[in-house]
Amino acid sequence: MPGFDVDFDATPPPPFQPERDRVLFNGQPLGFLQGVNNAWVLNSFEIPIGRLRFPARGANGVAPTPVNNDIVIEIDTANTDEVWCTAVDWAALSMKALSPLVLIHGNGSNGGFYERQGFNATLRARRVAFDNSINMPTDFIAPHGALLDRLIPAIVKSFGVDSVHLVAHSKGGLDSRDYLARYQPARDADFKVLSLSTLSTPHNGSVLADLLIAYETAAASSSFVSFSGFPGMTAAMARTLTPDNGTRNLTTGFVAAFNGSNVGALPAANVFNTIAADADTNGNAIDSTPDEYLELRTESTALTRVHNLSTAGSRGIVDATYQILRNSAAVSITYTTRSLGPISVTTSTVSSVPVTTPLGNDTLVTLSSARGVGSVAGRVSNSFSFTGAAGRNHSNVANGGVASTVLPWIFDVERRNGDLRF
Amino acid sequence: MLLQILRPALALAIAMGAAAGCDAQPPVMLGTPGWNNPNLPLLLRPAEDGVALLLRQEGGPVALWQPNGGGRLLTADDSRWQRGGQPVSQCTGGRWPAGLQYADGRFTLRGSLLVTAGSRALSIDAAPGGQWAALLSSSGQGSGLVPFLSRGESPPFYAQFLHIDTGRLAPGAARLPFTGRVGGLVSCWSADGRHFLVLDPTLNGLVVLTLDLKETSP
Repeated sequence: MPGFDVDFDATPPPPFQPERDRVLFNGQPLGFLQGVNNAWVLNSFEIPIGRLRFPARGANGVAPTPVNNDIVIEIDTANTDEVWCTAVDWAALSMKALSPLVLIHGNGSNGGFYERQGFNATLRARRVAFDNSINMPTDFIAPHGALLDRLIPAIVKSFGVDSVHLVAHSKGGLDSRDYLARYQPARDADFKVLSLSTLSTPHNGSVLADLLIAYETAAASSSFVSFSGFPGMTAAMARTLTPDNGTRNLTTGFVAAFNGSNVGALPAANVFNTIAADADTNGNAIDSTPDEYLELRTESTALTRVHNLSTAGSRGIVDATYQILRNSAAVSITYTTRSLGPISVTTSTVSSVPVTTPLGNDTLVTLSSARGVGSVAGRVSNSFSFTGAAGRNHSNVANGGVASTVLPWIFDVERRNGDLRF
Repeated sequence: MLLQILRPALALAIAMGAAAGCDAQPPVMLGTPGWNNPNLPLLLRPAEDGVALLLRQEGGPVALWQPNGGGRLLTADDSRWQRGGQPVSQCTGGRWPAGLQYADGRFTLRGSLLVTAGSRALSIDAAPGGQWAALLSSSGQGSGLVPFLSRGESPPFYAQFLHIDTGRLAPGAARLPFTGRVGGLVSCWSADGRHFLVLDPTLNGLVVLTLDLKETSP
């Protein structure tokens, strides 16, 4: 704020006082203009952020309606008569602020997931602006990438910002990568995506999805399907679960093909962070005491119903998924056709290809897949795995503690590339 | 099988033959020719005559669908695929119309709820021309036993057609003849917007809906 002819250090004859021009910001005094006779001097004031008026966020796709911050200058407050005068050419207000976080949910979930699991509570406590309004139907990666290209720009506009961070859970991370590779480059002129932090995203797919699709494929072309090398509950579970379109894009085969076209197309400017987790907190499989899958039940009324009927039943289901991922590197199908007189009968066996070293996992995604080992890991700047006593399942891998882990990475990106640069 | 959609220019009194109980036949299930890799999307392109459809998985056999094909796919050779007259569509999922929101199994378009035939809206897919979109829904009970992995989408499935500008759904719905264990459906439009395909995710069954998008006077 440049002030002209502010005779702050003048020594006028008595009874007159030197020039004291009081500056008020939104009705509260900031101090006095400084200056010299017949010259422009730039005045700067530091204002506590709490004194600023900010506009309310706009609706999605609508920019915020600006609000005024009032600056009043009371001229020559030290004299009762009018002795001094001044002029101010302009005033500018600037601040450093973290870009908002846009939260993207995983398969078969919704934006409320982050609220339920406690991620949002930490963001609020840290005064971090965020949006979790995105709700997507269960679908493949490609339409979700296209959908995010409709939703994210509208969210950015509603904040009135020029950059955001993305945080994505599970398949939402693959959806986000698809968006970043195929759509964000054309959006860069309008706004930047500074970072993508993924929470248990299956960057290399999930053998659990392989198993469900393998069962479905086998059942479609044979009259009897058996399982080999899997936990005892696998057959019943596979028959119960009809995979949705999201799950079809989570197989290791599909994600490998996706990575083939996606990883190299990810914009160089984006910073990538990964969170991985192991649900077994005490090294003895999935337990109900301590309850290692409470948060999974929060996300599944069906699992909760089973749990209310039988704790052993719900534990068995969750432990089966854990053990499948822990012990299977891949899934194979073998078909056998026998002739029974004029009739030929085809049976199939869905088999586990065993791992050489057990794989920690959060009941849906292994640690190595969540880290993107061999795929996106080369692009990742920060990675943390919640294991042992700090382990997490596929739901509470988005709890408040995880938010506290991710936020410093995001602040660091802001300090280097964003609005917190000094 | 022909589902006719008539769109009078102003009144937008839309009628869909089969679903509205007119003379069109209900959708039929077509067996598919040995497509067995669920990781590969289905490809389709209108044939050179502009009436038939060519379908294949990458590297897989080419199948020909004709309106009078007797409810089955015919075999076709690779040269016919190469001669296909229009761009190839990939069945990898839908394009979203502007102004669409989704929450709790329901779509809203510009604030208005789209009332689907099934209790749960599954997906929406805008046609290449941008005027119409296909909306799939299901009334089957979902299990969702393992969160994030399966909603247990199951029959009956329905297809409806949405006129995007007016936000109106064509009256009636085509009930899709998928039965048994079906989780989710793969769908896509042909490049000319005349055919909408729905594929059983096991790649064993296919339904072709032929749409005649006409403008008539009110």
